[in-house]
Amino acid sequence: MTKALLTGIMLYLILLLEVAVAEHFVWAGMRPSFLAVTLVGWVLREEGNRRLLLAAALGLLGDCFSGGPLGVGMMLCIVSIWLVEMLNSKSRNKPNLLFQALLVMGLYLLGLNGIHMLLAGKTELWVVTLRSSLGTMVYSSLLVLGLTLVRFLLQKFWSHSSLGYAR
Amino acid sequence: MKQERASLFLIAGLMLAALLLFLAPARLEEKLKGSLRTLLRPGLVAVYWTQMQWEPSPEPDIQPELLALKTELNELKQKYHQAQGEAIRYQELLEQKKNFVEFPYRAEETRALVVPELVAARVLGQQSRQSWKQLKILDSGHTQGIKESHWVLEAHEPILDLGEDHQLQQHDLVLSGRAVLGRIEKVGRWSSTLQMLTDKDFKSKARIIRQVGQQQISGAIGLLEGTGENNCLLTMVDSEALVEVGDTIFSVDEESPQGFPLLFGTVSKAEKKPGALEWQIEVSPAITEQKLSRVEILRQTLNPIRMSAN
Repeated sequence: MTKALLTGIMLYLILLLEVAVAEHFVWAGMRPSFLAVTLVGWVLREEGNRRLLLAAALGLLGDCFSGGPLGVGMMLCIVSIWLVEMLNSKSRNKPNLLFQALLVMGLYLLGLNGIHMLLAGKTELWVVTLRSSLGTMVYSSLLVLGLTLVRFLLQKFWSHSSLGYAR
Repeated sequence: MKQERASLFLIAGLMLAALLLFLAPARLEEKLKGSLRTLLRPGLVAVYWTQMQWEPSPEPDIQPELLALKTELNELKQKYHQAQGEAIRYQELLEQKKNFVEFPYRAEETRALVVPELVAARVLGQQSRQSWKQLKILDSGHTQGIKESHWVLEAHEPILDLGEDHQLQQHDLVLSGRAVLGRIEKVGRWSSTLQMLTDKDFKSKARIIRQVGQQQISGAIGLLEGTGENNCLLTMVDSEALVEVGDTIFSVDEESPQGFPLLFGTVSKAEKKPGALEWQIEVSPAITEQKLSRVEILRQTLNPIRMSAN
């Protein structure tokens, strides 16, 4: 119950970041996608039905604020989770997390923008759409890397502090 | 270590739900989107409030932009007045053409003896005006017999920096674009005084023009008189004439250079008292800017082509 409540609050905050804060992070015409970053985070951290449900919910919320039709982002999120699971099941080694992250983010961002472009009938803008999607992808990936680095450093710091305290 | 996999039934169920949402009617879609946006509103307000607290936006300096927009507005107004004047003129020519009865002999075309000409002048600023009046500027030439007209130096009206040296004459119209600002009152040797449209001694014949669609309908002719305040009165307009607030007031044909009428202003108030023979019409001048530094003077000169022909 507490976990569900925390997830709900987290979703609300991510939406706020996406809708109201992301525009302040625009750099060289690129805008980060906090939804894609969260999706990657959940794909890497969660598993099973919970991962699928979270991804679907995230996709649906993204659709509600995207200006495009409902269901597109949700479908892409489900497909990306299914693909990741397929790859994991076929791989004998430890799953490649970086590849999974890029696959999920690429599929979601390129697919979403591409479908929106097709539905709007503006196929002549494919270069612009591709550039914008790739820009968002690169920027979001850098954001993921940055966050991972911060988390890693904090964990290091925390473990050192704990050890020192234990001694 | 193998990860736990999602149920295929759940995947299929969610895909179906997504497909149904995609095919859902627009009304349902809007309702869902609207509800979510309403739900997000408190958060958005909080984010906005935090941003405002974090970095209070500095008061933007809008003065340069305002000035540029004012200049642009004035230019557009001038172009509009010009186009309006031309429309009236061409409409009149068209009317004349329609009413023209062909004569078997074609009249020989001749050139006018007197032609209108525009000269640009500057309105002297407060400091220059004082110096000019106190003869400080003229001191050097005073002893050599160079002297400005006493009438100009004594006047309280704005002073323009052109006079007899540029063949200005009393009652020459002073314009800003196609709108009348006033006229020359006293002409000195190098300077002259400007009588504004609103001056209580200003009088000029004027006509009412109403725009109906693309047509410029010429109305009654009256006498435009300054009130000494910020506006003018259009008197001697018959109570039978059609007058409305917003109608424009233009110069009459005989005072329009080559027939192109000049704008005086617009009707700001029009009243007709019961039993009165005339309208009571108040006119707001087209040029209300008090700090005009550059004007044009419409002077009459002899046609140089006619002169050279002799």
